[in-house]
Amino acid sequence: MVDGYVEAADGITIEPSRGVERAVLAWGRWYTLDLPGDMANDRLAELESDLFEHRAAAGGGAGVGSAILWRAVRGVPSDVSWRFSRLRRTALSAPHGTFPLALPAIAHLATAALLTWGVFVVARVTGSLLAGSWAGAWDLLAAGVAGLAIAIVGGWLVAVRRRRMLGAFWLAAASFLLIRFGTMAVVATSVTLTEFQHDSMEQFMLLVRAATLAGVLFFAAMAVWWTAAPQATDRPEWGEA
Amino acid sequence: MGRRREGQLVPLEVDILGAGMELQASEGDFYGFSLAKRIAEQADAAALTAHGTLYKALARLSEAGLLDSAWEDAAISETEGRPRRRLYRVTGAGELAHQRELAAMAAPAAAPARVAFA
Repeated sequence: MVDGYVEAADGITIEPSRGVERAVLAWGRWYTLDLPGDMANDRLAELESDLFEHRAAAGGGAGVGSAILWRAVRGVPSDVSWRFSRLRRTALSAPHGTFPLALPAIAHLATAALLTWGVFVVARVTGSLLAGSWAGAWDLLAAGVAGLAIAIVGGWLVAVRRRRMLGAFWLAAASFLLIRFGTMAVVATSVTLTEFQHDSMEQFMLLVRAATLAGVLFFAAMAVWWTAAPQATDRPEWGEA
Repeated sequence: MGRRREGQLVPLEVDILGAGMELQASEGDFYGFSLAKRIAEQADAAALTAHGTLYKALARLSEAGLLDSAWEDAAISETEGRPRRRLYRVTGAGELAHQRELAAMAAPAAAPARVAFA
């Protein structure tokens, strides 16, 4: 029964469209994110086995990559509804005082908000530079760009289960740069905001520092929370030794 | 589309139980891809059941006690150079549910509820 699979594995039909399997497994890792480790591992292992068997059974035939992709795409609604049913079940069975659904959801929302803010800061400053009206220091611009870059890396890391703790630390660093220096960069692009800052310097600085502290502490807390949360066992990527 | 009643099997689940019993009779057990392939062969369809649809249905049937599952021995998959399979078997309750569902389908006027398992 299995001879064909071994032969297919050795004869290598996987390589040409490995990207398809990688994409399907990446989707699998996304929709199992925040689910209990065993549950996520079981689904990913089953999916990985299916992908292998599909390609092996096709024996290198043309169109197998697109057939696999089409199977995955057609299953997306079921994947999503399965995810939400499992999340609901996890939340209902969670110990009192823990928030297995709410905290990751808030973290993802905060990540999206930080990325949006970063894009706004950089776009606003770039627009101001191009218009020749930029009155701020160059280090504010540098901090904004660096903050956005770090936020993008952090956002990608938190979307990967085994790296999300590290991602939260990146986002904490990005929060510091984008909220503290990004806000000042945005202020420097506007005469109205600059006047407001001069008129209410103490309140303004208090607000910026409080927002910065909140952002940094939130993501640092998420890093600690994810460190303590049960993790799925690290799994090798498709095709890795 | 209305929500299905508790215990009601959808056509895919009936197909899974039917194909699963066939594979079980010849192979001893079955796994996701072999099942998808057999269902496609039976339906004379070119496309296999989608991953999400298939594994969600398998999970539901397992939770209902109509299927049993166990991970294959890692030594076997390593020897054969492939990922481990999750092996399924249709339980006695699954066989009964399948028979009841087929009977209900054959006589829809007499048994419109299609209740297959509790």
